Amino acid sequence: MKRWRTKREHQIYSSKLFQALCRSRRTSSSTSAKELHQTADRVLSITAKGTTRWSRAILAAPLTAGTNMKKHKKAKVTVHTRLRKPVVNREKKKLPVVERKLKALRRLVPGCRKLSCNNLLEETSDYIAALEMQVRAMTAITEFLARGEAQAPTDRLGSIGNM
Amino acid sequence: MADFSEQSYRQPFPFLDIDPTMESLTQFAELNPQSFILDNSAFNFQTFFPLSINDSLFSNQASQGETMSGFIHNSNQSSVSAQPIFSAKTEVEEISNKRKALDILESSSGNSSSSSPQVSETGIKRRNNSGRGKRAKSNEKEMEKPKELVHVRARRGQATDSHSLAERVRRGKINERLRCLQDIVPGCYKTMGMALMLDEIINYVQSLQNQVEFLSMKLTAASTYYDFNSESDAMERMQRRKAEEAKELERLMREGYVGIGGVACFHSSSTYGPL
Repeated sequence: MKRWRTKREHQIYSSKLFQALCRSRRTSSSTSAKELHQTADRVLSITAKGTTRWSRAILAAPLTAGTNMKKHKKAKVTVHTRLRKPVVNREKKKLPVVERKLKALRRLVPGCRKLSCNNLLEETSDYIAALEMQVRAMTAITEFLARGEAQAPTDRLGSIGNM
Repeated sequence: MADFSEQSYRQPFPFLDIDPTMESLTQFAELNPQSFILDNSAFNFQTFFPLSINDSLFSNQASQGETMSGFIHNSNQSSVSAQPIFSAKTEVEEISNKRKALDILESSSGNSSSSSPQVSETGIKRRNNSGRGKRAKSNEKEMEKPKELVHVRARRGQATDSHSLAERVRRGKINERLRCLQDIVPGCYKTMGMALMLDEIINYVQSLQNQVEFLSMKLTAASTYYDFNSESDAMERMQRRKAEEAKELERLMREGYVGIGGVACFHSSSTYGPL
């Protein structure tokens, strides 16, 4: 968790992200936000060096998995559900409060669907630290690009004016 | 002082390997008015020592070392190093309401031969445990042997079977991780329970993920105008600029994330290029 705070890691990540960005820009002219998001996540997991579960899960997930429509089992709707006896759920207690929240957390952190509470909390803390670093790095790159772009047109205009 | 202690303390503590130094300790421990009741013989010793000494000794932690050493030296027992006893005795004083003198005796007798850091280690662990323990007014003693492998001691009035112990260890680990998270996630009070903490954590993770998504959109927009062919020296420029901006951003981030409305602060601080 401490490693995500160091400047070194920050520099490593931002340089790798910038390189990946340039590469993807050169190969395909159109870059969607989703694609960039995925690249950013993958570069983040690479920077994690495979020590955490969420990083391995991100790298192991197939590319463009988000665009495919997943069919959840619960999405099936049949007509006959009403004819069956309704299950009395009012008496049945919901899962304990803490368990429900842990379930929600498991859905948020990638690759931690079946983790115990103990390991889940550990993964979460590392994931949060990594996300914070990702936000910092991406802000820095955005700033750089925005500033670089503000200067570049004036340079070009200057060079054109000299000709 | 050593004479009567040797004779009478053999009865209540037959299982102890009694050193003369330990006897003085048991004596001293017995003087604690809130200690458990062993025997009628135990009460006799209180009459030998005026109450004023007890109060002064127990209330005054600063001069504790001196009075203790004076006490020991008076009874002509200085062969064993005083340090393990001192550390054990600080526990006696600090957790006088809840601790078991028996456990201290056991552990100190068990560890007196070992180095002093060990004693202080178990002492610290016991202190931490008893600090959270119940105020049990029961008169029973709980005889247990010190557990070397698992450094958890069952508190007074609590079950000692392996299941509860294992559960306690597990809960301790979870609480430790939760405390770690508390430092990372802003807006968490120490008094928050598990459910509230998890709420905050979930909210924070979701907000971070939203931020990343927003930033990726912004980055794609910013990169469309950028000429990536002239990128050769851009890396150096970028790294130089990042070195300047990184510190600034970190400061802003830390301030901005103090509340849940940190997202708003964060967005306001970033500059927008001509998009």
